[in-house]
Amino acid sequence: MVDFLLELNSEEIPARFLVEEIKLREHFAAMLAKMGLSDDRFLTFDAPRRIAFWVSGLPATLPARSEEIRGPKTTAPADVVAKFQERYAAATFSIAETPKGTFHIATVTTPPIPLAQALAPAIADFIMTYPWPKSMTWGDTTLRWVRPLRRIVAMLDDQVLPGGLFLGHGNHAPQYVTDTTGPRILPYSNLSLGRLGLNGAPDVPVTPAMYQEILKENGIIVNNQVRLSKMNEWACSLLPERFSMDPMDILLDMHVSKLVDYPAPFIGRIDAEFMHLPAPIIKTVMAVHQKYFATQHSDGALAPYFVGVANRVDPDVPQGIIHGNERVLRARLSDAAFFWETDLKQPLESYNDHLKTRTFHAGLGALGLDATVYGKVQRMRALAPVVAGLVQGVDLPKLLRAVSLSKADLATGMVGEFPELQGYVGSFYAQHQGEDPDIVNALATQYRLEHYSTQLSSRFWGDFPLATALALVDRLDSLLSFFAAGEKTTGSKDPYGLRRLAYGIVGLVLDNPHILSFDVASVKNSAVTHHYPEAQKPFSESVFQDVQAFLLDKTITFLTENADIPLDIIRTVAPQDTSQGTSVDLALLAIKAKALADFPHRETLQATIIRLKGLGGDETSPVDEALLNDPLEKQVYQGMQSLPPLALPVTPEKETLRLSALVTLSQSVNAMLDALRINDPVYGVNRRALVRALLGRYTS
Amino acid sequence: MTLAFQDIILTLQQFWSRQGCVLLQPYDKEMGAGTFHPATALKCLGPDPWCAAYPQPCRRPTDGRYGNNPNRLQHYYQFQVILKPSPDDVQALYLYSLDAIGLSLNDHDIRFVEDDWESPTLGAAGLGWEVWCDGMEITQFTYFQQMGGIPCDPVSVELTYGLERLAMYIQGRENVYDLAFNDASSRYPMTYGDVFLANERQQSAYNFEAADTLALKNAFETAERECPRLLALGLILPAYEQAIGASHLFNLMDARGMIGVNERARTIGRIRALAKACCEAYTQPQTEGENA
Repeated sequence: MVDFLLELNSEEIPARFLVEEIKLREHFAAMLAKMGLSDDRFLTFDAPRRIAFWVSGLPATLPARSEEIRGPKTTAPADVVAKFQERYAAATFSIAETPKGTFHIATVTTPPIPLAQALAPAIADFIMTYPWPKSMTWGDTTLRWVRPLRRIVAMLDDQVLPGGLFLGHGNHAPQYVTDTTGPRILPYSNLSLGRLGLNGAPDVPVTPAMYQEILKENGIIVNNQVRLSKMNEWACSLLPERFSMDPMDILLDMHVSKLVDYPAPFIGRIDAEFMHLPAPIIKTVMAVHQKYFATQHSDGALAPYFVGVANRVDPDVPQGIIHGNERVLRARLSDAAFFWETDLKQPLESYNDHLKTRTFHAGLGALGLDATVYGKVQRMRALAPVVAGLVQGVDLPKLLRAVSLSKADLATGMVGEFPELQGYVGSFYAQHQGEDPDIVNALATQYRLEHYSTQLSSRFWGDFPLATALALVDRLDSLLSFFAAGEKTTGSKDPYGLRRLAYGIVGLVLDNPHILSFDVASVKNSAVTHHYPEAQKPFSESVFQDVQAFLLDKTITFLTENADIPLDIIRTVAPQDTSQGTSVDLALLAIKAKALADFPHRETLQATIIRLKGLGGDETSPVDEALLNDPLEKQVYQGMQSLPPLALPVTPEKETLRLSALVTLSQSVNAMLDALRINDPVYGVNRRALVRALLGRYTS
Repeated sequence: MTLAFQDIILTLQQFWSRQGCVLLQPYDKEMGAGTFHPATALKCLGPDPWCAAYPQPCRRPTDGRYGNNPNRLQHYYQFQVILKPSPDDVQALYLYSLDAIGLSLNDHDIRFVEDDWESPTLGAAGLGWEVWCDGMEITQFTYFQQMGGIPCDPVSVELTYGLERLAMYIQGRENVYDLAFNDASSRYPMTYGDVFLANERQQSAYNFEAADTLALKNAFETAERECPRLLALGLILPAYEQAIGASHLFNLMDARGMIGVNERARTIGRIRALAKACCEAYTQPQTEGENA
């Protein structure tokens, strides 16, 4: 058994890539798997200038392996078969019958091989194929890596693996080489690189057994968990007793820990002259621009201290560094204070004028629509009455006011400097000019997105109907606009964030006590008939249909992934065909799916539905009571008639009552289906009409 | 003793001269960044090695504040280093240069924070960092990946020091106009304000108020016509000067509020087309000998 260490030393790797450790692990696991080593117990390490992998207890020799490769069908032309056999010349061939046909099979046998011999080229391959989100070339070499790669440490116990990586030059592609003499080659090494200094980074001999310890002695903590906890404990110990760090800064935490080899936190002061600025502004300036942590009083109010993290071994951070950081923060905050004062010289709504030259989506122009943000606000105003009707407890004049103010802050100096504060800035200015608190809150939360893994029960929107309505108007208009402009999601590409928008809508609508019904088709009818200006109907029928289908799809994903509702249950209550612009009430769908998922006798119901669907006729005529000739039929019909009437709005309680009544009805339905022939030559038409009516009641 | 503004320039020049760089003077045309200097924009193209260092005054008309803002200037200095191919020890060299101007690793927290750079005007892009000294950005550090839409092979590394910021930090000044430009104990001590305050006031007024909009527009269109005409004559370097000129005229028109939002991207595209045409002509094999 041997231990394997791979360390890739480069220049500073962007922290956001190191945060995605899972991708590094996947790629490394894939390399091991290719060699038949399915070991997911390996450890990954990182620091700003390195990533490393450590696996313990690998076999010194890889056992013989054989792999079956399926080739062409036996009916394939002879030359195709010959090529296959040529390609796997060392293999043994056989023929296998499968449900899909009869195929030639090549069985490739790999003899036992020393691990070092297998790993050495595999490492090169691992490096050459690592899919960094963004990569580059440097010098006169052609290998692509996240930043210039400077050293490869590759060891099995105390042995350096043979060979190295040629970095590529001109037409010679990067590749694994056994002879490491010559230029542009990084030979595998046992020498890690220490911290960067004036003479470059010094060589540090390491072994797999002592990797973490040796690097720590050299001022580099490669275990991110250790860096994180050291950073936090230390920071807390430095803070004056009455103050604490904001516990919500986990992401910043992670990011900052990826920016240092060895964290040395320090406490800086925020100048008193800036403490009048709204806390979110100060916190954003600190977190986004400077990577400082905010601190708070015991009541949660922002405290006049920040925590910075220097990259140094000596915990005594010199005053010069602290003063330097305070100075930078002062300059940043005085910018913010300048914008605060300048912006407030005008009322918030006056900034709307500037939105007339701000493009929302250029593609709308070709449709005869106003492509500016100003145009978007006008469309949102037209849509507001429709949404006000959907969200209970919303005052339309308030919503219209909120819509009118919602995008004004985009033109302020503050958002120009700190774009991540859009929405918040508008809310601060609205508050300052004495707007209604509901409006202030709605402006601040209009961009709020809850990740769709957030538990339904802990959702935010339920408490804030006006905020819900503003966010819904905004997102709905955006989604309609982007679809109208021809934007689509393809594969993983989604440049306009359509999925985000859709999940943003689904998150608002589902399980929101103020929204009991949300159906794009009826939104469309209401908007088109009553609210969009007569001369300029912005969106075509097909745009609404596409948006509806997209939202339905995301609703289903949301319910399965978030509320753990099995897909077959959702399919039971979801409409079968949405292509023709049929109504799909997403709020209702969610209520029904959840009621059904929680319903104890749901299997009875599903079985009934399956039976009915199997017989489903396309009769459109109503059931003729006079033609019901069998007592079993009559019983079912009467049972159906006596079901509680469908009364809107549907609530979870009413839905559960309805399901219970359907379970009772199922007994007579099953009795009827067991005894009677539905496709009867005489009574078939009427019986199929009955089946259809029943199906309607079961799936409505 | 802390370095005066001009001593920082002198020290960096000496440092990079000792590294073998060609020491150049500022280009004698207005430009928005040292990258526009042909010693960077054109010399980073093609296969031949190149290394140069130079200070470059930069003009950013919209950043003018009439001399009232302690941090913002419409005319400021960059110190630019360009090395092709990028050497393996460039980070260490850079740290050495900081040490030379008084920013030692022991006393300061120097960090390389991801910042990918691009210039839509030049059709240029690169990967690298902004270098932080105690939380303040002092240098843009970029491995050029393309220039004028042409992939860079070999890759150059560009170091751009923001000189006023560096000087303010080294001298501990809060206001750029208070910087000691020369030796403060000399017979004629001069501040940055003594040298440049009047310039900031008058140029801000020119940029925002006085520049003749029609003349700017005409000049822009002239440059846009001259560039391809000169290229057709094989005069690549004069043609490139027209592209630089167009870029600065665009910035002036921007400061005069002549560029609408929709027009902006289109006009930048027009300048990029000029820069690209120059870069493409520059890399043509038949003219390479002339440029080398």
